[in-house]
Amino acid sequence: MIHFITLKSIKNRKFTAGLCMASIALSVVLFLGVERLRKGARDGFTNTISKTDLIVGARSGPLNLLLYTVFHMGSPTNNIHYSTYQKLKKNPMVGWTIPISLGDNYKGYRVVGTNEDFFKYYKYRGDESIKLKEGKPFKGIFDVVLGSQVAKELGHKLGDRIIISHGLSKNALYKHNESPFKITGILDQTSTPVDRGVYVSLYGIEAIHIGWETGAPNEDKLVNPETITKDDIKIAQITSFLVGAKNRILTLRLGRYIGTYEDEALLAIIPGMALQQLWKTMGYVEQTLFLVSLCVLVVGLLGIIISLYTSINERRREMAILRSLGAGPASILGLLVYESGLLVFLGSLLGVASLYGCLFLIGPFLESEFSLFIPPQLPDVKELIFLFSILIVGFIVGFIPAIKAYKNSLQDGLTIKI
Amino acid sequence: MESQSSLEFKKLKFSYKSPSIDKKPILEIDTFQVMKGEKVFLYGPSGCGKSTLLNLVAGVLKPTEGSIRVLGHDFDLLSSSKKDQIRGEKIGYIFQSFNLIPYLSVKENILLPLWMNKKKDTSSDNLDGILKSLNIEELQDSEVVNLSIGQQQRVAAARALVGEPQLVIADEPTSSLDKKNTLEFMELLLKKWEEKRFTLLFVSHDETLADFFEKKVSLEELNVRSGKEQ
Ligand SMILES: Nc1ncnc2c1ncn2[C@@H]1O[C@H](COP(=O)(O)OP(=O)(O)OP(=O)(O)O)[C@@H](O)[C@H]1O
Ligand SMILES: [Mg+2]
Repeated sequence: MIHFITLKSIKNRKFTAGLCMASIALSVVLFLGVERLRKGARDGFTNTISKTDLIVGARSGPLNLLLYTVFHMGSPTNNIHYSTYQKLKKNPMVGWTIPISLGDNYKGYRVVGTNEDFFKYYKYRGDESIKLKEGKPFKGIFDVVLGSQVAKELGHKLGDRIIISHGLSKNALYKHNESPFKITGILDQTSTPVDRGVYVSLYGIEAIHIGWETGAPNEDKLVNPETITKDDIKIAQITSFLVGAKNRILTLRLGRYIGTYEDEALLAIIPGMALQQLWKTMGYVEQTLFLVSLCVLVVGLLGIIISLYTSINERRREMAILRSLGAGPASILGLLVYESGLLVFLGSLLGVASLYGCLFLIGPFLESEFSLFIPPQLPDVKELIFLFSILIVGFIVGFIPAIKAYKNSLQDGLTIKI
Repeated sequence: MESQSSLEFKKLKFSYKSPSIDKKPILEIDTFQVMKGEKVFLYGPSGCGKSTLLNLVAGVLKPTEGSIRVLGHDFDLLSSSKKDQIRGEKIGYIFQSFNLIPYLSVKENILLPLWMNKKKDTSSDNLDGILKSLNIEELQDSEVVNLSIGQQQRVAAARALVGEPQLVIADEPTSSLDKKNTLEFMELLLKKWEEKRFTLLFVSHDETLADFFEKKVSLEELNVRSGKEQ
């Protein structure tokens, strides 16, 4: 009964009621949307690399090591000896490794020297591994595999030949003109920095630098890419390497062992922890977003109070009629509280529906353009608590106009005062 | 004899504010009785307290002093919610104007008291009969806002009568109607009264309507307070 009257009454005030619901819906979308974006960004970020227990590089800042190894940002200060890498690789606590050698770029995208273990062991976003969209991993010295974004932005196809520039900066002085690389594979999109990498073998990196010992090409010593073989190349150093411990429990021990390695000054960091620390430094962004959506919510709830409150006077007559039919002042109170509660409920429902609609529509766009993956999962506990509190607050807020109506109807009785 | 009375005031006093020493009550009625099935015309000038009295009878206001018995219930002793319930079940109320809830249809407005007091069955026979006898059959699915005032008042009467109340209270139901509509309304209402014999308490300041009633009560005369003042 009360439900029927309320529905009819809301329908009668379609416009204001609609606006109220829309503002509630909007704040729900904003709040949950921002929450989802935040979570998506955080998960995307902290899952940029997964299953890797340690990142090992020359001793420098842990943040720096993380940035250049995983995010292709900043520059490595020092390299480590390849022999050290090989020794550590044989350590019984080590399950697998992925070597990484940096120092060159291709049109601003960093060239990563590595080996086939990269395709085998590199994991991101939980348990996803690197997959090839087309072609094969690099095999020859001058084979190259492009990250998906590199291929897309530069419009490269399998078989294209590319020239790599010396140094990490796009405006490099020198180019490795004499030794072009052939594209043998293009990676699937990962929505991680992997998409922005250009992957070659460690041999390739070493080969193009023969004769570059001074930092500039020495024409006499340069190799002939036609004739050189892997046996001619001796890998001297790499920049860093990723380690998967044989057993996760060994991670700390292994880290300590590497950190105190005698032959070379090394640094081992746990990427998960480092990523989380890095994310925390950006906490103020999250807080700002949270505040903004909270403000929108307050505006929405204020809208409900205002619209109900202003309608109370117009509805005095209606209340007197209901009283003449046997409604007590408490029922009048209940009616209005129910009405605002229903508005908030429908508004939040609309908001949740719009949220999923939005995720469905712009999710793929966010993933491809911003590398932001937002899983369209059901609301989690935190979100449910939020929705529930909106409902509670909606009901409480409904009391403000309702108490006014209650007082009116006590005063008016069955006398209509307009 | 006692059980035959539908309405009974004894030494009733009522004032809106708490009775301060120098404030005289608006109503001060020594005795007033209406028998079951009687139709009473209550009149008096504006502001003399007619609507106040009806609110007391409907159980919305509580007497400051004295007792009031309505349909066998001691309204001065009952809780407000009990009185609300009795009003919903046994009393029909017609306002001066704007009786209808604008966002409900004519039919919904009429059925509202039945829905609100679930105890009564929503028999459509009853509804049809009432629609027919009040000459509003064709209007039942109309929008309330499209009705003329005369039609609105007849719908209001239909709503007051649909639950078969024992007491019908009408507070100047014709004061916004023209002569022709007033007569039509009175005839239809009194025809229903002939048929159902509910107690009818009809308030108006239009004394030409008094001819429709045998029992006529001047509130001014009834009211001790105003009597003293004169
Ligand atoms: N809620 C209220 N609070 C205080 N005083 C009131 C209230 N309602 C009415 N009064 C006063 O009580 C007196 C009687 O009012 P009431 O409405 O009963 O008169 P009435 O006889 O119905 O007049 P009318 O013929 O104009 O409807 C008036 O002086 C009025 O000012
Ligand atoms: Mg009046």
